[in-house]
Amino acid sequence: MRKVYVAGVFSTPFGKLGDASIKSLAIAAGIGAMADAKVSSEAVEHLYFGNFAAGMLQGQKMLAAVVASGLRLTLGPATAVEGACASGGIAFHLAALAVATGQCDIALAVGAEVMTGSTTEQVTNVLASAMDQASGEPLTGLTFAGFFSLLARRHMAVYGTTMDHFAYVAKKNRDNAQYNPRAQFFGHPVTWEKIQQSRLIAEPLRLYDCCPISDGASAAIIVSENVAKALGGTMIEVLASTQAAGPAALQEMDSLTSLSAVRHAAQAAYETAHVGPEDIDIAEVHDCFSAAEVIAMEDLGFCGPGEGGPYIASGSTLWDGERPVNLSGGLLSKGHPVGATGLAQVYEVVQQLRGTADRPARRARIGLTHNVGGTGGAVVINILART
Amino acid sequence: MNYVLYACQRCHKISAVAEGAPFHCWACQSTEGTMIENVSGTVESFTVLHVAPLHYLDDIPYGVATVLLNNQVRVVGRLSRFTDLDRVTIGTVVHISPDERYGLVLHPLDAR
Repeated sequence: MRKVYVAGVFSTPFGKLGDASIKSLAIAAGIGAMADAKVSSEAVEHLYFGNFAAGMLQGQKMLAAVVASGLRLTLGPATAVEGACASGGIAFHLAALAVATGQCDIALAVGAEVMTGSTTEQVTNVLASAMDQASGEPLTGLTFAGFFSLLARRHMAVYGTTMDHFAYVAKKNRDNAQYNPRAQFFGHPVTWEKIQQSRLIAEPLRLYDCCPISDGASAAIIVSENVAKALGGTMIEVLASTQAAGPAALQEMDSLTSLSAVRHAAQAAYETAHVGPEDIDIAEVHDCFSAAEVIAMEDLGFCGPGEGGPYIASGSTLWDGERPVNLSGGLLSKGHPVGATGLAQVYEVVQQLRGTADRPARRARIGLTHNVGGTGGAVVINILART
Repeated sequence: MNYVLYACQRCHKISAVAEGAPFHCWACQSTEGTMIENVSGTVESFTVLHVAPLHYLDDIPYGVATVLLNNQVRVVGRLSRFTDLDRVTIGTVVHISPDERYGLVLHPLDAR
């Protein structure tokens, strides 16, 4: 396998973006990433496009071709991928794989979603389609907020995790978003009291434990070593990009306090990158719900099983902690336009490693992204390093 | 759509299967199963939903729980509308019945 580098990244603001179409957002992200990398559209050989809901919410499929045409990409294949909330991460993974295996030297990964034009109930309905319909579990009326609430309550019962631990996640990520002008809740800080007294969504989780409905797009240009050297600039190497599959139904999960695909993908990523969890300086993790970040800390090996709550409450994941997590604001406060999220995580980590982030971490040489689709059915872990 | 419970003849794990659909065990992929009835278990975790998909808006608030059966196999069901949701706890014993609308419905034996 060849070495792979991220040469360019871009992210639109996340939030309610008016009447912006998914095509216009995706093209803006693609153009931005190409400009950041200083490559022309004629030079891009492969396109991988991540999206989850456009077929259901906008009636738009065939998006890879639509976006490739809009970007005037004509040299090679344009492929759309769907893995629920991990769609963007999968697009990045496949682009990195295409370069690593020598299929191309320059690949573009784009992720985009438009959701705010639909009602909360419509979006909830569409998101629930990421569950295994044949299992019968969605018939109960279970939502993704409900799914993570089941995990949260079990984690509380088994390990003594508290609602305060979940509130720490919500508060930390909202505070971080105040330094990210692209975040949906930039300029909207919240107090402890407001978090803890907000309305119930799926007990025990409350409003601020849940990510918002968002629009947005993100993109990355992935290149071979020769191209990266020719382009110049800070070299950001993809030390590992791994993907794992896991259960798409609760009845198939081995535990309600852990996501097996995260453990498997993380282990493979650490082995590929020849690093361990202790070497990760910063991380962007999939905090679709506050409880998900607690579980992610454990599954990624940042702390032991059951220690996620106290680990976060200790301040270890704050901006000035030993390993800052979700400096972008995370899904909870940066926003979660589903298909764009995996690439937005790459955008934040690359900016941190370059030292060009809006609020640079004190130490950032190796960064990790953790993107989860559905009930943990699709997981992508990337480890990036400044070399 | 009615869901029924099948016990795998090879590994004895239990699956919820749509009535009329071919059975295959989620754990070992065996296609040999036996339909079982009169199943009970204990609540492993539960939630009460206040935001629902479109088809369930009239049910709010409603409870969904994961239930562990005797052999530690997990099933997911809707807590019966007769349940006092404030009295459901982890460990509550429930009887499980198939239901056309909700797949499986859980009837707590001590939370009504």
